[in-house]
Amino acid sequence: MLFNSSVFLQFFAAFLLLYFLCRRSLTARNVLIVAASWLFYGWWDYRFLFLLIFSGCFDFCAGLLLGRPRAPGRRRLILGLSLLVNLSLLGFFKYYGFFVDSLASLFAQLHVPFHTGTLKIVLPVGISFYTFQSLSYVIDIYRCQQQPARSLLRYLAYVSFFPQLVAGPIQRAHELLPQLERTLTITSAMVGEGLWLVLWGMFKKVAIADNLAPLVELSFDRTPAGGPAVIAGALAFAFQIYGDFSGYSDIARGLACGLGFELRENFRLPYFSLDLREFWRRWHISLSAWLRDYLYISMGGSRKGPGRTYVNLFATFLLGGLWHGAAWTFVLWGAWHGAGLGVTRWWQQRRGRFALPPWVAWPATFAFVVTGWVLFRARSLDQLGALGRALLDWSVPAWFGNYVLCLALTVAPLVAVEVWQRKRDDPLAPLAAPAWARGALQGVLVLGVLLFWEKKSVPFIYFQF
Amino acid sequence: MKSHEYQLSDVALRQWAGGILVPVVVLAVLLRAGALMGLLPAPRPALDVERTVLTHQAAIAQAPNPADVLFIGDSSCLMDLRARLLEASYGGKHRSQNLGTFMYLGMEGYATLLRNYAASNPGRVKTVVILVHPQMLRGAQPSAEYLGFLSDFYSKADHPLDTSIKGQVSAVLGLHIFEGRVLGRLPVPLAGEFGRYYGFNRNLWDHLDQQRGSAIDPHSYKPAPGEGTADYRLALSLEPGCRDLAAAIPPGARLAIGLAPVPRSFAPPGYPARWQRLLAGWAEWMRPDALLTTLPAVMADDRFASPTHLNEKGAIEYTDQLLRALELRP
Repeated sequence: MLFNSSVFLQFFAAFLLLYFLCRRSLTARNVLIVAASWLFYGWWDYRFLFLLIFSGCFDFCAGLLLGRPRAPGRRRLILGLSLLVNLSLLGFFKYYGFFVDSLASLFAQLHVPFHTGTLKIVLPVGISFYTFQSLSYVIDIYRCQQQPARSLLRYLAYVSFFPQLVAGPIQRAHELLPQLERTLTITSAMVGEGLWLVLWGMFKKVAIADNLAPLVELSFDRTPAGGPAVIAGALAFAFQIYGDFSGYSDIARGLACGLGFELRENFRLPYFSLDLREFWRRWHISLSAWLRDYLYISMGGSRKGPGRTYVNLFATFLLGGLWHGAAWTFVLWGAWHGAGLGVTRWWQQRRGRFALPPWVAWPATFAFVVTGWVLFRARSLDQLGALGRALLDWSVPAWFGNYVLCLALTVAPLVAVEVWQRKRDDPLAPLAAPAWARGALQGVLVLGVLLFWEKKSVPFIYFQF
Repeated sequence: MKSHEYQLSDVALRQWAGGILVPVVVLAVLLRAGALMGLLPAPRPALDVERTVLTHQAAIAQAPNPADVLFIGDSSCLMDLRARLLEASYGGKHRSQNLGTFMYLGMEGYATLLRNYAASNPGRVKTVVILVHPQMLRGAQPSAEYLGFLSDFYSKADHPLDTSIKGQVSAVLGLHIFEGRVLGRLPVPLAGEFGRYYGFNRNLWDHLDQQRGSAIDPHSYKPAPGEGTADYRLALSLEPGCRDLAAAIPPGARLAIGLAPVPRSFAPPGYPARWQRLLAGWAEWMRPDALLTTLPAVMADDRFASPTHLNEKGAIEYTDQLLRALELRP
């Protein structure tokens, strides 16, 4: 079920009514959350519900076993089993085709016959997100940083909480589980904040990202029409993916806020970053933190000397790239950011001598990130090559003027609001505006969403991850 | 244990709801007032391929745009002939204009376009060529939506978005006014192959301007089993529309009618003879001065963009054949 669909609005209206009726019973509320979340997920394909339920039940049991006093060897075994099961499911559904195709391509180059078979595997929506969420729970218990959940119902509600089920923010157990175990208070301020987040998120998705989608297709999904079109396309995609993904995260947080829950912030004005480290502290924060806590630190982080630190950093981002999708372009994107972060780290350690002024640091960081998006968006290495070659051709297609105007008009509201948020250093700055200004802005957002509602119905980009 | 409790202040909630509703209502009123007082530009809802073509052809028909040879018909007329090429072939002596649109506009819609054109360009047209795909003669009825669109355009009214609940809410809030008068004048990327070929609504508009109303279908035709055959016949339900269209021919203008070709692989055995009979049958209602019987009934598959449209190469060849069939003096 897509947030930007009429069926979701009907679903959520019915859910709100039932939620109100369940206000006197914590158990009833959690049953409702689990049932609604399964309906929300099963709406796409009910057959994949079993994966979600299996993964949830398995990790709940693993958590209970890890919570009992046991020998370290046993604990490692339980953790290993949980990792094996979760990563096998993820690997099979997400990476089977990629590895088989890559092997076939390798064997073909060696002129060795290799039969790939005909197994076509559908990627279950959100599997990367709920698998990481579930894994973090088991690892935290293993590290004695989290008590195991005592109720399967609450744990299932945590794993399948529908506002953030399919595209995050990836919640840690210590953030969401306690909220599922206590009485929540819904205040007027929370309703106001939730409303703003939902409206702004919907606007970013429906009015900005979805309107940029055809521009991006024009640049990427046809024979490249020259360097200027590729650059404009990269810019369009930078704002499309931001509007799409941060829009989803804002809607998720806003819906949860209206229900009395608090979800972690996932984006904090990332395109204002002055260096790559800052960018990754502001972009997809829940994934960056996950990779840092469970991958980078597990590999030794910066504790094993400078050389190893750079290797760990690079490897973390390489795997982070692969997490996004089973394609070499994502691996390249991860490598691009891993290398960039390595250079940033090296540079910053010598900052006393080479500090960059903001007017150099900001465009350099933005250009680096936007270049990375070209790697991310390319459908294949061949297409990437074609885009690279197109950069050498500076001819301008007939539609380029319209392209630039359309891009500028579509992105302008996003830039305007974000400059405001940046000046106040607060993503919720519009809530602090005078009532008339806040009302006028929200009125415009409502009309903007309504104007473009279900016009294109582009699925959220991160659903495919 | 309680699940949750609400600590909602009525005043705060009223402020929130009012804060959103009041600006929405104010903006809706401003949009309507702007449209009523003529502060907003006239509607030009060129928001996708179909609406860009319809709006363009309707606007051309409404303006002084003198042409000696006027083409009118469905999307085959729009895509299968190159009006500018035809004009150039006559050394510019027979100015041509293509007002081809879509099958769903129907003969009644073509008649509306033609009447508007004749009123805006009195006494100029010497030849009117009506060209449609044989599929249209099966009895395709005009779509009320398309006819409404055309009639709203000519009466400068704002055409509603659609009849869904969302469309009705949008209409109440005046969003169709914004869409038709503001958004339609801004660059809107076109979808699919048309987007890849033309880019934006404005580029398609410019192309139609430059090509005297003709467009190119950018698709590639690949014959597929089970897509049907050219089993066309003349539907009696078309007669009133055809007579209405025939009556709209400006006095003194010569009327020629023709049928578009189909891909060779699509045509059953004996199709050219059936095509001729179809044309002759249609002519009984249209009473033309000339029947374009020498036009090809079938053409090679590689000249097609779809079962009903020629591609650019096919259109150039077809225009050449049309040139000879029309027998205009250079």
